[in-house]
Amino acid sequence: MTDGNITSLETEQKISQGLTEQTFWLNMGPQHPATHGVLRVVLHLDGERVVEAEPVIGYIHRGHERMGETRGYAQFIPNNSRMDYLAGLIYNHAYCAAVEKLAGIDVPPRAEYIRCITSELNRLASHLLWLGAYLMDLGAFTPFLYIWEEREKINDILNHVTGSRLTYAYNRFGGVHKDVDDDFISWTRAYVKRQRKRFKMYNRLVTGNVIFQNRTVGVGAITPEQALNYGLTGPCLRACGVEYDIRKKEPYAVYSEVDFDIPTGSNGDAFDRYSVRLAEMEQSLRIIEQCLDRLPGGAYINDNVPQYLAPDSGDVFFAFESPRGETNIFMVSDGSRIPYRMHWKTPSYSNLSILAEIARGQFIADVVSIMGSFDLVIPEIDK
Amino acid sequence: MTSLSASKELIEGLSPVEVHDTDYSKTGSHVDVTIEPDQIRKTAELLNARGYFLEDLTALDRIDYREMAYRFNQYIEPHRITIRAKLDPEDEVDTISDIFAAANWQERECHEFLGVKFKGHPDLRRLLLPEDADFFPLRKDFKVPPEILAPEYHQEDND
Repeated sequence: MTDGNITSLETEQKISQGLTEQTFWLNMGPQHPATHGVLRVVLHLDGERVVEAEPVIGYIHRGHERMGETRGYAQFIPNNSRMDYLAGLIYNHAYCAAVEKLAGIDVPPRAEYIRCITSELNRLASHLLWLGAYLMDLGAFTPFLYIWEEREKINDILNHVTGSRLTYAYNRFGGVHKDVDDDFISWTRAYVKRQRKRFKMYNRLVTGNVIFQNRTVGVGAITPEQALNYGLTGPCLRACGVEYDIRKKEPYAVYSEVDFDIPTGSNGDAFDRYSVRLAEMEQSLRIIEQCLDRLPGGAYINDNVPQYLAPDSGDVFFAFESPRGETNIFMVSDGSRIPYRMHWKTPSYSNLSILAEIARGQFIADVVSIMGSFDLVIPEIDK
Repeated sequence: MTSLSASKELIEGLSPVEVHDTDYSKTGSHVDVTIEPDQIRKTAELLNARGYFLEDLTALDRIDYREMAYRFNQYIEPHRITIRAKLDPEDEVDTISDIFAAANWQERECHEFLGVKFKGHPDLRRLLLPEDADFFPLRKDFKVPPEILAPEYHQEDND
């Protein structure tokens, strides 16, 4: 384009022949670094602008619900951490809590506190991974390396107590399978102290950065009405200014006994989702600290739980807060050792379904920014 | 907590066939009612006007019939409403995807897993299963290949 008047002779000829400019389709994924998993988005484009975006999911559907209906209650425990691989412990905790509710099993207080500490560590690890990966989506490689360092610390701590670094199966009906020791407590305290200092660095490195601001402020804004219509939960909802957190609204484990806030945003854009998650991490640190201070002695597991559970017929609906929002477990028992029906409603599912509406009229590059800010975990959507 | 009288008024507005006893601490629902399947649109509109959002939507295969289970909840003050509807042998129910956009994908999922037909749904293609799947894996008559069963549950007698 050397000429200021860019309508070339060739284009003019085409228009005079009745040929008009056309829109086209582009597949983003199923193998694309910005989708963080096997997600395909069919983009209908007009130049750089999105006319229509349709997410296509199901590439890694494994049939967890049906698997749950073909094996005993305890045999499903390892499946939990394969649903949302970044929040395995939280899903693990919630599944056990749901079954405990269904079967009426008591949990000793020490176990509840250990569950809260490990769940919050897992939430921090998940948010840290999101932060690093999101910034890398936007083209910033350096923060990723700094942020990964903290995540490794959490993995080391959790590895010490649970025996695994990603796909945990630590919770049992009535407690946890191994008690925490003094090393765990001192390492966790050291981590909390260190992490608090690192937030200042993240802010200096990222929050005020002009490129980051241009890529996120006002991008992919969601109104509270849209959020309600699509049933959004988690940081995506809180960024719109709605204070909704299951840990506060329907507390489970010992969340009712600890003091923490629900950070909210106001514009519902990608930048607010970033700020909400960053503020949430600080709240998680507060929860961990309080739980460590109050950690009671005593048993870490209820020894009277039968090896083969057969809860009375009935159903239970259990909601919990995963790093991405509210996850629901609906379990139905017919009195046998195998669940009659197990249904999971996962938060990324709702959060992704709004993409079609939000992406309309945006640039392709912004779609990457929007999808990244949703913190999608595809195995959780595909089940 | 939403007051008891408000709950009562709401339940009357839903015109239920049956009101189930529910203990929130045990079942997780504040209100649990069964309605006629043709009342679901009216119910969804009523709850939409009151500021509820669709939390979950699924169906249960009771072998003789299919049962829908909807959950609605509020953001401000949690008040979970479970709506059940016993479907006729045709497994048909009205869509609520035009009232709650959240229902769009959830109804597609429910359709492909349990074969429930949502009348008026704009796009009932397969969502998680392959496009040409001709089976309903969450129906009880679906034969699970024995190799994916957990070892202990191969035998019919579990004792």
